[in-house]
Amino acid sequence: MIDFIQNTVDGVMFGSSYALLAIGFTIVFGVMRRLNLAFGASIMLGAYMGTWLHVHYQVHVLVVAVTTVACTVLVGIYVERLCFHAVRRDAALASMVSSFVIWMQLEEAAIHLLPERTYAFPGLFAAGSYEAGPFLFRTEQTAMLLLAAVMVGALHLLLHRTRFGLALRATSENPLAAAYMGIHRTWTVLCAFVLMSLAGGVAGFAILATDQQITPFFGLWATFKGLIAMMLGGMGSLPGAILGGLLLGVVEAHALWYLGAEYRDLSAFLLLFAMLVSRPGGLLGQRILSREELAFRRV
Amino acid sequence: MLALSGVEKRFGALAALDGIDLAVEIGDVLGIVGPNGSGKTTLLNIVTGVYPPTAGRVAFQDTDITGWAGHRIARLGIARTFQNIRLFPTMTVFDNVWAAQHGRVSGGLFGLLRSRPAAGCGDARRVDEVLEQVGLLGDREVLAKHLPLPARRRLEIARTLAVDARLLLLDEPAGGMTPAETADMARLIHEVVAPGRTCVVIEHKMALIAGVCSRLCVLDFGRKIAEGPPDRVLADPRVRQAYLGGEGEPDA
Amino acid sequence: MDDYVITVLSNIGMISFIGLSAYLLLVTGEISFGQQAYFGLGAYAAGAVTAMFLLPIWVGILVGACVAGGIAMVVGALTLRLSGLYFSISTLAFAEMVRLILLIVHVQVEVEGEMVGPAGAEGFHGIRWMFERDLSLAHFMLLIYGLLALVLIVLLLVERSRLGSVFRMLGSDDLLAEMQGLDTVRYRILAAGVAGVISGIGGALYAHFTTYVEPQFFNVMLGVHALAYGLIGGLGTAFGPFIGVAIDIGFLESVRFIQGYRMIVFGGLAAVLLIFMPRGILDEERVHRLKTLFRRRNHAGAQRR
Repeated sequence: MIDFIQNTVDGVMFGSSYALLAIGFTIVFGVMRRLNLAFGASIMLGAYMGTWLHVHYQVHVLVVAVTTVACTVLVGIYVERLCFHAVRRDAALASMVSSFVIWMQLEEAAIHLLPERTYAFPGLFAAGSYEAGPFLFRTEQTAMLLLAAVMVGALHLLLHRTRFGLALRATSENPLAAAYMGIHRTWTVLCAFVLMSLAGGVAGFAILATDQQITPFFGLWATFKGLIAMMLGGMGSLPGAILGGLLLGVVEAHALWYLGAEYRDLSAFLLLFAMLVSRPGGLLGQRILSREELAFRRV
Repeated sequence: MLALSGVEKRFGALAALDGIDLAVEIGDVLGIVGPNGSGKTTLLNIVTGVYPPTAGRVAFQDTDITGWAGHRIARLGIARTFQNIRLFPTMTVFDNVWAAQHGRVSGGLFGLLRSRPAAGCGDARRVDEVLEQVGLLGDREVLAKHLPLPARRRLEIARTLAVDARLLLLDEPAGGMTPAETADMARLIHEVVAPGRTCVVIEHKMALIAGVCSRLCVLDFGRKIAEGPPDRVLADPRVRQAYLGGEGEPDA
Repeated sequence: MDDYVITVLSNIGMISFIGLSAYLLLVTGEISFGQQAYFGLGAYAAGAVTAMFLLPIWVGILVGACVAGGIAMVVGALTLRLSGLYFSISTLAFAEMVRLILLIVHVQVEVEGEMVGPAGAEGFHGIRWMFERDLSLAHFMLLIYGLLALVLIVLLLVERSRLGSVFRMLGSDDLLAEMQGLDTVRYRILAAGVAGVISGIGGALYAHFTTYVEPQFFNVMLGVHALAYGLIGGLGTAFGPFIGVAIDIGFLESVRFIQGYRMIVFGGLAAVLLIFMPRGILDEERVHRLKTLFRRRNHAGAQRR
């Protein structure tokens, strides 16, 4: 029983990093109903630039943090211009495919920057842990969980208490009507991407600073974990992103403990596939349109 | 031939159709008229199985088809056109009409493996015949997306003719057309489509309705408010109230 | 031809199968990120048939194709309700599931004093059918291109048939297809199955060409490439994927200046192409124009004679 609870606690802790990544996906999906599959790769490229400074010039960890976030935002803007702004308005799928092919481009660019397999990433503070009763918590992971909660809170305020948030939500509800109301769609979407990349850059730095290393698999990992967490929790729902991330973490932790390391990722994809087949909108998501309903709307 | 009894369709709280009873006999050309949002297209969608009714029954030739999938209903011999024209835009005019026959090909999958026929042989002859009837034979190899609007509407009609449907449902065949084009369309329906066929025509334009339909049915807010021969129905004060806001003559 | 050239050409041939598979689904309006799964399943199944059960290679290819096609149909039926990006992500999830399961599967039998079979992350070694028969790489390349030609001819015939037009109807407007009496569910599952078979054949050949397969090869990047080949070449004709393959491997791989940066150039190229030609170089409209041009030429030529 103790094991079970400790595993669940560990899972929640893993899950906090998934939730952080899912927040980024949620922002853009919430505004545009589109998926940016290059998200993980853009975080990776941003983080590689930070690491590059660290490896070659031994800069301070805060410089690495700022570089990571700033470069992630720049790459995010590049992805938005190329895959989302330029692609036809009604072609949501073309955008997704385009971001899918840009994924490999960004990853390749990052590997050219730092061609070895593993690099040390500077930690923000030394790894530590504390105990509460019989359970063990890791300090950095607790901090990440708090960070995720703070980010969701801040985003919630931004979306519901500011004019900018209103513009984002209006664009998400009905882009055309929003445009008639004088909301500049291009800017709104670009802002959503900047916001996504900011969230992604912060998430990426927090995760890497905890792991204290970075490998070329980070991009793939970040995209998959964030995507799965978002789709589990509910497409475009901020509380859903947290819930999905934690759920994913807990399931993975138990799979790891009871079945073995090779079942950890498998359980994640199995969960995603099962969720899509049975309840495509995710736990907290809006009801999505199935094929019949789409046909229905088009008549 | 087609019988609707107590058909009701709700979208949330809105009743798009509210207890419709309607019968179409063999050889009828029934016109359905009514203001925008009165439920005309919803009625066609229910008959063709785009979605099931909330309540009520639909029967075709004494078979209960309520809630059947669209393709099964189509195979019984019901063909339709669409208010907002639906064609396969990147297929040629010929292919669009030829494609309409796929659902009726016998021999299952193997029947579908036969190649596209050369001009003048087999199935192609029937397609060309139909294209000739609607006056599109000259545009046989043009992509559907390159056709002007009246030609697209004629292509939709050609598609229904090619399958020798028992019941034709035409949804605003003159929608978006000029008076001259509307007159052409009325002539096409009257001379080519209607003879020997059973049709249901949804239309706003009296010019088309008056020249084509043998019977009229008027819908308003999802209810049937009148039915009968065109001249009598159009003279009905309730119809004038609903349709014209109670004043003026129906425009011609 | 030296072995290097033969290897490159054989790789082009084998990768074309998965490109064709992605193309077929694109034509029916579905974007699959997961055709690499069927490539992998075909490779493992065919490898097992020849290396573990010592059956001839044509049985291996047949079994590989059937296993891939069968599983593709099951997945197609499960994901039928999904459309658009939900469908795409479900294919991605399935492909990763397959790859991770293959990393776990550990089934070996003793063949002539050696353990042969899938060994988890170490992959599946010893698929030596080709070497045991003293066949050269060139011979095997002929087999690859023979089968590729066969698949292409079948696809081209299907495109000319009613079935091919049914597939295009699904991709263009599935409600209209349904209204014309087509059971769209059936044809969607059929298309998924055929695409799985094509990918599976490619995988079966791949396993025998390289003599070993490992799950890592069937990762997302293979899926990106397959999809990009289908899209770049264009959705108007089954020749399309070959244009994609030719641009990627034939051109970029061979230009020394680009070599190390192939993914960067190819990724950018694909993204830019999606902006200007969202349905590829040879899309339906251009194919139609070419056909008209060709027919007019022929016509004029016949009249002159």
